Amino acid sequence: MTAIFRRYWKLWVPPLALLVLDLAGLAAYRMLFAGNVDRLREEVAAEESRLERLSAQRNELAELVLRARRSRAGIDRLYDRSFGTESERLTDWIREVKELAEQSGLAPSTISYPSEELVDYGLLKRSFVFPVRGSYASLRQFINLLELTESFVVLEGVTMNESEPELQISLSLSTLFAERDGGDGT
Amino acid sequence: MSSALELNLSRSPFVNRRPVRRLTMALWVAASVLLVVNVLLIWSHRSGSVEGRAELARVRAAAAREVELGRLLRDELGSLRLSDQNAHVDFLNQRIAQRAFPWSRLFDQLVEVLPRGVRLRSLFPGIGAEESRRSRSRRTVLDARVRLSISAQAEDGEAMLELIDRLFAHPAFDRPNLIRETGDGSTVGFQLDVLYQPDLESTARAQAAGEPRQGDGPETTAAASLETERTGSESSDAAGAGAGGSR
Repeated sequence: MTAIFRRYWKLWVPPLALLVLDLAGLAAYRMLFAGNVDRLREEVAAEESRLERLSAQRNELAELVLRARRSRAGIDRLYDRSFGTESERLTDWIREVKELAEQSGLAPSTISYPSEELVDYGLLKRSFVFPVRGSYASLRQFINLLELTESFVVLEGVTMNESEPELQISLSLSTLFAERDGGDGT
Repeated sequence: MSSALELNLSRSPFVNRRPVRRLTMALWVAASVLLVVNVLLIWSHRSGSVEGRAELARVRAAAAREVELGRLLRDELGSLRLSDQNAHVDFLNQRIAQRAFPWSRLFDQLVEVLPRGVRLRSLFPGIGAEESRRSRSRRTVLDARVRLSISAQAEDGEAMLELIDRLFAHPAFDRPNLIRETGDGSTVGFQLDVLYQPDLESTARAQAAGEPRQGDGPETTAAASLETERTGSESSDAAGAGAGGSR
């Protein structure tokens, strides 16, 4: 039996050699390359998850920047529209407060205007302190008018002393002025 | 002599080559199938590898873009100086809260608590001081309170104590704190601090709904609104508190 295989070796040895080569190739593939694609896929998945994290971080940063810009714009708007500079608003403000006081029946005769520089915020705080004689109703009307006015006027405090027939009232008001455009004290 | 039927006409003796042929066929088939499998595997590996590398390159490029965008945004945030800006916003919100302070409502509520024998002498809301104490904490409905400094004159000590009892009882006031009392025989002058909640109604509504307050300023009829909000930074608190309502 083996003699015949030996005799006709030229028939079966070539396919056997090819088969062996195929098996060697398959083994080499399994050992050297089979994991490559899987590793590549894992690498892609890891990079994709990193990309996702980076995108989320970037979105958070973008949101933060947007809020910061909005906030900055709000500050600028406030400085520009509400505070204005002293040269733009001071006299109008004094005139307005006097008119409101007179409208309420409180006519200030002595007024002091202390000021304080708020350097960190690029603002100047200007106060308007005045003693006045008047009734409680006049005081309430004046306060109401101050609340309704469009201007940025802060009533900081009220002092009252009884003196017949009227109250002796001391009012301290203040406003803010931008020291320069944009008011960038920060 | 052999007969004609016994003649051996073969050129050579009979050899059974079928096992060799069968083995050869089987080997060819197996080798061919394995060859096809190998070719398919190599093809699939090659194309998978090319696609994978392209995908990896694409994802890495996108990640690099994200890193670059993040760097640009961080640079921009750095240039915006968030902590300074937040301090600025806090300061402005305090000023807005001062502007929006409802004096008329306060007077109405004081009328409710002042006994007959007590007269007000001075009234100063300290909005900034209370704010700075809690600037880093989360702002809630309770943070709308303002510390009022009240100085008053009473006909007698009993009237003064009645005022304090009434302040304790009134929902808009909290923790009255008597600081000084001076008597001149006929009247008693005194000074006290009390926490005042200006926006009591809306605060109560928000509290009932469990919502945090957005701003510190109560309602006002004044004009332009300020949309300044604190901006959370990476290192500090990200809890943004809204602007104090409208000016």
